[in-house]
Amino acid sequence: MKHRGRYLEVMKRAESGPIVSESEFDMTYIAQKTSELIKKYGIKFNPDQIINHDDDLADRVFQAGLELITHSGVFCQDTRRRIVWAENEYLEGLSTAPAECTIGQGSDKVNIRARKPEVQLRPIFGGSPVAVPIQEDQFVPFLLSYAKDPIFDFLPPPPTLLSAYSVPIKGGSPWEVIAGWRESELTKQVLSAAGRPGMAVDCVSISTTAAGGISSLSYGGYRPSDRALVSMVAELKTNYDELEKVVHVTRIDGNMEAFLASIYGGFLGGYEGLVIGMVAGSIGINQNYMPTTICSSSSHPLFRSGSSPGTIWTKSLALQALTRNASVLMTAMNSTAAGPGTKYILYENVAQAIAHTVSGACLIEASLSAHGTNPGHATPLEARIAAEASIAATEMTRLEANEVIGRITKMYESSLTEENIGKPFHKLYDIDTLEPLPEWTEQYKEVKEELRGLGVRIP
Amino acid sequence: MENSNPQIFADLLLEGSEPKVADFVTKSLGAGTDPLDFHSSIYSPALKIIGDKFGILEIFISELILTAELAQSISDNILLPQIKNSRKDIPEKKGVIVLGTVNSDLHDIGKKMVAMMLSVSGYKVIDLGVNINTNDFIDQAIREKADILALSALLTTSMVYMKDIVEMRDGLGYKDEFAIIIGGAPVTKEFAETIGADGYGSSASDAVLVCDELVSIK
Repeated sequence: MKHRGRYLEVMKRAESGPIVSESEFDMTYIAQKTSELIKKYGIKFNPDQIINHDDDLADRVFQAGLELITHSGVFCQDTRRRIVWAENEYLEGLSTAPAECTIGQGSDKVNIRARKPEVQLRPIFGGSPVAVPIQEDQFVPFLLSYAKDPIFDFLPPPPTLLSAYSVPIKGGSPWEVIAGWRESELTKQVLSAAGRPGMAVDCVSISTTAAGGISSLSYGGYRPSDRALVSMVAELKTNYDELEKVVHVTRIDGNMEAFLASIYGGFLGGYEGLVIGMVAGSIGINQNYMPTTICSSSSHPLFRSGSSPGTIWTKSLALQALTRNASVLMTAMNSTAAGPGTKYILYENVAQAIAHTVSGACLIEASLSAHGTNPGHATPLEARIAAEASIAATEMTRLEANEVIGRITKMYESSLTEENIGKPFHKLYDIDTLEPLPEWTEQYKEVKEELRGLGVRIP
Repeated sequence: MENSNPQIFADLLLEGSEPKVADFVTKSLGAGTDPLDFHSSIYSPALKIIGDKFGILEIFISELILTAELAQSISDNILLPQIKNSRKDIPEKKGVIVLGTVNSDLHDIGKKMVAMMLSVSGYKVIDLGVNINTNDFIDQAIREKADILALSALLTTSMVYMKDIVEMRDGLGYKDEFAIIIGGAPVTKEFAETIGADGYGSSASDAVLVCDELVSIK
């Protein structure tokens, strides 16, 4: 891809940029500067406008984010140097970023195009039990229940294996590499059984180190047409492991989904700081990782989901800021506090899907259910309702979406700090047919009726 | 006395003006407040108030760090010298905690939040950082004469190292020397019990409660 031509320059700047201690980077370059930018650009969280429809605010957030990343650069933890670029270099980087790409192969390939807020083009939608831990012998049926649903265009990160060939997986050890291969082996079984051998998959779900993330992204394992995952460390940091993944994916000409998750209460502060940091991080990711797509998200330590009103505000506004000011492939992920078998998880997914769609996401992944930490607690149904809500949202304005989401969030907001983790997959789905059991289907249908009552034209 | 309210002292610390905070302390001591009493009835409770605000994210980590640094400066430059002059014993820390994120795991901010909460709650905290291997955890805990070794992991592939650390501590005969508590997104109370850890913290605030309990029974 033409925008990756600067990858050697990125690596050189990681070795030659200005030296700073990590604590000074956190406190001075991030915390202090973000605080100044909030005041300078007049960024203020408005709980009555969870879906921002003030274009000037979105543009100010973009400017604030651009100013932050120009000031801070990206901190490389291994060299303790800031990878810095001038503002015009960041803008040029955005102008050459891909506005269109293809993932998957053969008849399963999918085209992704950049969107802007309120555009009627439907986002690409992926469904999987994103990173939810699962026993090795349950991996295939669990993931197959998603892969066989035609509403999903690709598979976001598969569930996290708890063992490889019955041995617990240890990060940084040979077992992490073995697990990467095991994951790709099992995922291929899923694609074959679903009749969708070319379907794109996000990989590698279990990797922590570069060895784990790269090794199975090679001949016989995952393919360049899949989506390799590379992350930015909170806040605005990288390290050799992530840069090694960048180099490898660049050299195999693979698709790359680069992502960041900014943390409420951390060095960016509250929601206003988060949204500036998310934009800054996305621009920094684009410049240094040269990805195909970028996912910018935020998390709240107390709610542990992406569905609180404030968190939705940050994701929606960051998407608007970036898609209004650049033609980049911005993606989004749904994450929930509640688990399957509860109505809450359906509401949480619908609210996020609508928010992401009207705000300009070109691709949405669902669902990181029940914080993504409860083994087996995910089902395709919560991802499906999210996909359906996204389709309905292509006919909505941001103003309409704000009205609807304001009502939907009231249905689940008070439950976010409760442990409504629901039930595991095998208690909500028939393991032989991989279809939902009546109890779960009934709740899904009830919620769809409720949504139609709110004016959401959900199919 | 006007200056006997820890909330007032907490607000001053959060405001961040070192001259104002120093003035408050100096006036209080000058009016006859015993420095040790000031430490126990105003200084420490004020830090707890600030820690509690952080626990519910009314303030954020950068504010907590700045406040803690200011409080430490006031303690080092005004309070502790006065306590020494009055020939009383310097208040001890509640305990020593060595803390870090385990091998192959680079997640930092959550661990930092816990470290800061423990620090303002009265512990001496040695933060080893991230991606710390098993041997280094044990060696540092022994070297620092830790009361508690606190382990953080945010990945299922890294939390397995927590079991190794517990086994190494026990195998080397240090089970009665320092306790091990664990925390992080994929970590559960059940996992802690399975691997023989001494405690589990579900949040930064919870970690303080668990540590207080472990130190009290040591």
